[in-house]
Amino acid sequence: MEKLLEIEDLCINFGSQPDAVRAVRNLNLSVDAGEVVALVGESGCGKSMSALAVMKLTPPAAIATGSIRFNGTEILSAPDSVIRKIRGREISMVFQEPMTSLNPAFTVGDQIAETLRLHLKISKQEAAKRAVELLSRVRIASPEKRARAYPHQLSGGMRQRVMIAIALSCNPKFLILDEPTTALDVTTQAQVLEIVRELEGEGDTGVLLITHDLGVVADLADRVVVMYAGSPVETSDVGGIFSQPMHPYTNGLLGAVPRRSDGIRRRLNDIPGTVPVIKSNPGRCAFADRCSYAADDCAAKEPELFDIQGGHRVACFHPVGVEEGAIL
Amino acid sequence: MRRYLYRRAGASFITLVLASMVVFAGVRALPGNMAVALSGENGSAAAIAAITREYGLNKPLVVQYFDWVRQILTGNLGISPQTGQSVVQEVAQRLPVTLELTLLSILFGVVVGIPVGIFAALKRGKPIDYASNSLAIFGLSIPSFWFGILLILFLSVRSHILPSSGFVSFFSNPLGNLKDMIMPVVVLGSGVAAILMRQMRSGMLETLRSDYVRTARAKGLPERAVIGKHALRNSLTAVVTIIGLQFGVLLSGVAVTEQVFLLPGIGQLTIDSVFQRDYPTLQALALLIAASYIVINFLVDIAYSLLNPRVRLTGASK
Amino acid sequence: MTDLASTKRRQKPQRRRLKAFLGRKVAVFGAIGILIIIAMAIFAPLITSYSPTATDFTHLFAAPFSGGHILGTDQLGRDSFSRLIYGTQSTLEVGVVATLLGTFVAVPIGIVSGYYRGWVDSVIMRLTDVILSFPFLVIAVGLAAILGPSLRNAILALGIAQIPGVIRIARAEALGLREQEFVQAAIASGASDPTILARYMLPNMLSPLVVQVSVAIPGAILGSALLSFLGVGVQPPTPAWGSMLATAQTYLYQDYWLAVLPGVAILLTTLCFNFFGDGLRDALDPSLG
Repeated sequence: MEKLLEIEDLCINFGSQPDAVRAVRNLNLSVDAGEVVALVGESGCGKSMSALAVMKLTPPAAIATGSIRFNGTEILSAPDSVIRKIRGREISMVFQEPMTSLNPAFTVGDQIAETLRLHLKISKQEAAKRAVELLSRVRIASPEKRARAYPHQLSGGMRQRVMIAIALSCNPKFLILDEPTTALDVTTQAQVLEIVRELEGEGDTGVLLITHDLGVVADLADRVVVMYAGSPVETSDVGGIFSQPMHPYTNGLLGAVPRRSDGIRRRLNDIPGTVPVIKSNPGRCAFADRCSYAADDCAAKEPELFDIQGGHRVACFHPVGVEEGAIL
Repeated sequence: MRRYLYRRAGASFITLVLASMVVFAGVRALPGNMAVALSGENGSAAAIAAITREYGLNKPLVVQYFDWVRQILTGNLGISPQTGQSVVQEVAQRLPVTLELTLLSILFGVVVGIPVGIFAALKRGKPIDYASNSLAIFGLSIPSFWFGILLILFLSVRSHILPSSGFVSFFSNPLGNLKDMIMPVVVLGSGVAAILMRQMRSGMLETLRSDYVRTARAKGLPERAVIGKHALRNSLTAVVTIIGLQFGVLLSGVAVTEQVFLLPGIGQLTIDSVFQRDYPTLQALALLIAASYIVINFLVDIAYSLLNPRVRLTGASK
Repeated sequence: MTDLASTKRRQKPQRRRLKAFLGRKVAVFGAIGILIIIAMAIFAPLITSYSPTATDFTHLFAAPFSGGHILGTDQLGRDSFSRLIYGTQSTLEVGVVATLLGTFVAVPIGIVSGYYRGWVDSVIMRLTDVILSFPFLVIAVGLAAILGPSLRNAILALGIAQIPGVIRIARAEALGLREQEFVQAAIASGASDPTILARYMLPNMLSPLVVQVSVAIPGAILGSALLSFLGVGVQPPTPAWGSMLATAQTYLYQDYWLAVLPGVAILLTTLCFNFFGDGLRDALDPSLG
């Protein structure tokens, strides 16, 4: 059976060849109905850009090639009229910045109702009523009152819940959560995650979760794709990633994950160095410079994703915990 | 909202009082004897004595100021020594001309500048953007009075399409009135259009980059609604403030435009009153212009707060 | 996106600004034009052999390229080309001096207003509102009435009229800067207020102020032309483009050249400054382009 969302060989470039910045390189990914797939990596690794491409919302300067098939529609080549019927109705997205993602000039109730009226062709009164219901569904107290509030009157956590309410308004088949909790404080993060988890239990919505917070991944995801410098370096089900991380990068990420008892959240950039900007074809492993396992062959050729065991794939010549020579 | 309005009204009132003191002090700073100045060049000794009595010029300045304010409040702005008419009458005759010119010019600026600014922002980097931007810089750089002279030269002197100067009232000859107004309005309005166009363009570019415009697109809204509803509403707030601030500049332009096209308005009266040393008129006009500027900006503040819920609801100032 | 930003950030900011400025051809043209205009003002006597004020009643309204007058003569037989060249002097003087005057007075006031806030700020803001409520023409006309019309009073009026705008810019910058960590650190380490204002705040608001100055100069030039057109600016016989236009309007039917040339001169000058200012703004503050 066909997957709900299937991304094949997605490449996103900025600028023209040969000087183009390659933000995303050969991303392959699929999400089934009811499945949560996490896209993990440091900021600047291309994960948000990939998510925007699914909505065809990449900035004008970005050139996307490859294929993104959603429910039988080829997104990248679909005309705007088709895309507009998918956006907000079939695929919804919750953005990273709750403080600025809502329009300051309209009440949140209006902004929720707008999507409802656009896609469901219902009356103003009906839309306003449903907007209030949605607000209570995302656990906002006294929703009638909050629906009449402007974004600046709400806290960041409230605004993010409003964004989630907008995203859920038309019961989409697919939901993209782009760092939904990054901008929020720890308590609010937990509340927002609670809402997402609950919704996940209810239906068969496919979710693409973009995050650099492995705690969130462990909480929500079924499968994980780890990205580095624009390309996937390891994919596995969530158990495999946490029990047997194979790519040195993933390993580094997990090393940087707090034990739950630590009480302090350390971030991914605890791996020394920064994500390089990839122009042209690197012809070498992009992570080699920061990798403690790097050998001569890492600088000679770029490793490709390789299935090591039962769908756990890794792009590395020297995977952690796998005997030398096991892959060639 | 109410608190914000009261505060703005209070501030405007204080500004108005201070402005009136400046006008009062300015007139007292005029060279020579005040009474001589007020009675005109050839005032007789009796006239000077009468003026000294009427204006209470022998009283302390503070008392004089309050007397003056009391007179203004009763609608008495003095008699023009030049025409012998009361200043109020003089101003009332000329005010409609200036009002018509100003309002039509702002209308012209809004109708031309705002759509072009939006269009340029949407076509950023395309030839049409460069063209309209260059035209706007041209509009800002060209001296309005020269633009007016050129129009007269080409449309009146050489081809007789439009009357070069003069004025008939709208009520006695509507068509003739509008014909008289075409050139002055184009001259004055093109400067307004240039400023609004540039402001609109940069405001629009900024909102188009904003996260909430991306949210609007992600909802599946057609581009028409993304631009017309979500982006426009937020770019307009800045433009409204600009219109208010431009009003002072516009008033200076009004004077010179009236001079070029010989329109009998407030601006021309201001210039004439300087050269004819018609100080009561000058004093009244300075106060009138300052007061109208303050009132207009108060109205702009209200419009701004209506457009911007953050100000409307919390009373936060911009 | 972040990748792109990080590549750009690697260049030195000064070099990036210079490149951004030079990348805009019109901005470079503007800069060259300004240099030419300045040269014309300085070397006026070397450029033209006619005195700008000498009358010649045998050559009234001479057409361009006739009788040794490149651009003809005016109603008193004065050489138009000479008058245009010498006109750059008063034009530049008013434009530059008025702007510098306004800036030097307003910047310290604006910084103080933004740094101390509270009642100091309120008082200063009310006073700027008062100045704002008088259009520059009213200020100029008032000064002309009190002190008599002259170049100096035109400069004064145009300078005063610029004060409120510059105060607001400096104040807004100061309000932002005072929350910055390096200023907070200076306050915490006990630096005196004058040190903080002059050493920490002023140097960090130079970009917007430079942009403001470059935009204000062409405005002041237009203003001065307007004042001399109305007769309350530069007084005859000193040649000024505005007053040349005022007389030319009277003779529009006899000799339209007189009305075309000074206008072209003003337009070219303000265009050069505006192109230059636009380029400068784009280079110093890319977010506005």
